[in-house]
Amino acid sequence: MPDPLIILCPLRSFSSVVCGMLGQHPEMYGMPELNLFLEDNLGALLQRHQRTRPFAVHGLLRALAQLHDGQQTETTVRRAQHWLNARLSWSTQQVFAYLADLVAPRMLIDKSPATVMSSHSLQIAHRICPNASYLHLTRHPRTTGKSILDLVQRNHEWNGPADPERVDPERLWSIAHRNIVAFTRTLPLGQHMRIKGEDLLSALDVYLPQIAEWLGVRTDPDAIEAMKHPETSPYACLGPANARMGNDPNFLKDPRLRPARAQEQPRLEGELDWRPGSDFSPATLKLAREFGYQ
Amino acid sequence: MTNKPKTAMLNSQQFKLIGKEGLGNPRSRVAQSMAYFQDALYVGVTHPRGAGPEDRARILRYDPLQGVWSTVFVSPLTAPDSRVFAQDVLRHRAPRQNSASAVPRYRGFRGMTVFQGRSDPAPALYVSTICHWGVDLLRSLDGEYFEAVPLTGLDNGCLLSFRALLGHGRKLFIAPTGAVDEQEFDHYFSGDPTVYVTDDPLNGVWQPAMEPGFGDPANRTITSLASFANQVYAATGNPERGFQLWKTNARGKPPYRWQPVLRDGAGRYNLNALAPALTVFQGALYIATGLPGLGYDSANNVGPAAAELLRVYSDDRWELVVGEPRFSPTGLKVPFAVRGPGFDDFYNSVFWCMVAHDDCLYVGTFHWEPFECVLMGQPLQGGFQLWASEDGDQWQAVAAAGFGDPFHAGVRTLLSTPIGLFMGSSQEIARRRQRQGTSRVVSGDGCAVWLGA
Repeated sequence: MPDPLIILCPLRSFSSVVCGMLGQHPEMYGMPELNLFLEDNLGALLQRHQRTRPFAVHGLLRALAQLHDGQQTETTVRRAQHWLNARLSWSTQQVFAYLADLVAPRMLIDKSPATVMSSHSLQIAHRICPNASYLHLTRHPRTTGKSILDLVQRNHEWNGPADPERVDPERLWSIAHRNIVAFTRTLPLGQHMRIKGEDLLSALDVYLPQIAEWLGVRTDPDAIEAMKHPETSPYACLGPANARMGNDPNFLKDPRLRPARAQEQPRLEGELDWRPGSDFSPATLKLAREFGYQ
Repeated sequence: MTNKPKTAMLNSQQFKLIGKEGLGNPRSRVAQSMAYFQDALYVGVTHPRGAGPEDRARILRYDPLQGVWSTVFVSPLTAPDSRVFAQDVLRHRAPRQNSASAVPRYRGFRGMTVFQGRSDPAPALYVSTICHWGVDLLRSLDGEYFEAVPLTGLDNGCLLSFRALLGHGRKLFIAPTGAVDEQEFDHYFSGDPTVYVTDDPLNGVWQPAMEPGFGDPANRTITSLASFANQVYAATGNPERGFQLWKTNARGKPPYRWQPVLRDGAGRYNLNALAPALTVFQGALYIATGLPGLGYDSANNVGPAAAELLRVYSDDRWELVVGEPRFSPTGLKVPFAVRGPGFDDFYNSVFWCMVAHDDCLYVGTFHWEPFECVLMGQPLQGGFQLWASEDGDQWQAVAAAGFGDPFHAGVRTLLSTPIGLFMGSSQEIARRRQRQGTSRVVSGDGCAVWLGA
């Protein structure tokens, strides 16, 4: 069974489309947001989701439904829920290994933005998959921030819990990337790579073969072409009524590649839309410049 | 049939200490520049500050046959003014003032090269100064008498030094580095990010060889120059986006037409803010990177990070030798040495100097772990490292831990000569924190010079 690929980034950083793309490679399988690394134990994880973000389990349910039954319907999702309920004592490591086994010999790709919001979750991820490859995906903090605000302002569409008035997108961006940098610094050479989402999405023929080469999977034109169609992922649409989400809402509604979206080149300097009179903090500027943003 | 002996990489036992304790003045902390001229080694030593007569910079000569050092030039003294006590932008603390009635005009010598200009009857030794009242360029035909040449065409009043001096064909290229005024000085950035050129340093006019900063305001200095494949290469220092590398054939009248070779710190952005050394080896131009300061550029809020080693070919292809694997517009870059930044040592924040000698490439590092030890009150460890390779891919540590003295934090100069490889150190000062906010200076006893043969 190949070691998995774990995409690390905060929310609204192109992770749904990137995971969708990479997952269409014939040797890889892109999961929806599994959110497995938040707890060690499945029972605790499901309780946590129920308490804080019920939709956070949708990705796991959809993946199980798809892999068990070959389709995602209300019935197969219910069966997936029963399957989970019967295994509350399992560790999340067991669940992850089970999923990896189901998709083998393809490489499982996980992208769960919640993972990067705490160093503890990153450590769980590393404990569960010590040999995983980690792709650190970045996006300009200004466009990430606008996108986060846009998302939370449409909370009502998907029962999201966030209060737009209380969300600080810069803080989310900053915490996530600081955690990722601190974590990846501990990994051996080559186990992690960083890429600007804007670069990847605006030059697929340049970067997709490199990612494939790094991961040791096929780089032939057919494999690269397959990756240019994230919309063909089984998770590139809204799910059944009992598991609607599992990926970024915008991606679920329109999963086609939109490279123009990645070609915006905002500046780091200047007033923030969401905090009039304020600029990015020196800490954010420092990190963003190290990632290559201006 | 004669067999050329297989070139042997030097090992640590083959390095002999030929000068120590600041070469006669323990306050001389940095063996900052070297040249081999008329069968002797010349070394320019630098002082961190020039606050009194005891900090006069010197040029020393080492006679390798006799094994004897002599001082051939001592900085003149001048009356102190506020520029003496200008604050280092990396220190964030005003220097202590004193009542010295005279201070050295030059507190260091940053660059040295042997060049014969149009008015020079023979090859001359050119030495650039570190001067708080505007850089000078000294010239000597005999290694005994040094005089400042007119810098016609240069507005050098606020320039701290010339870091890079390059003879290319019949022209001498120089690049100012650092700036100073009454309030502060910056060793690395500011000043004038322009390469100047003349074919007659003695009587001619210096002309800009390029548009300042190559037209990019974020290029705040030119750190290094090299001659490779009939082109002049210039590396910029850029704390916002990372160094850039440009090249020109230097034909016609200056300013020349330059082409970009690398941008954005070769894809590592501002963690490769500087490229302090460029060296040609086995058909490629090697580029050493780094950050200013003690592993962290506090003036520009960059780092900490360890340094990388790259190489470019004459067709502009580039490879990563030591450093962080990454995706790039020209393909996946994986370090050929299979070593991460700093030769896998986080404290190697700069690959400060580099030289090809006897078919081997040597890289000297600056290692800031000793400073951290001092600040944390821990036993001292660390010190410079010297790495070497016969093919540019496989690397071995020739020396580590400052040859046993952690205060030798950096290899500041490497010079290949017919009699061996000379290496000069930088021995910095650190302050140990003590209770109640007091501190005391903890330091070594001055720079040193080794000869590897």
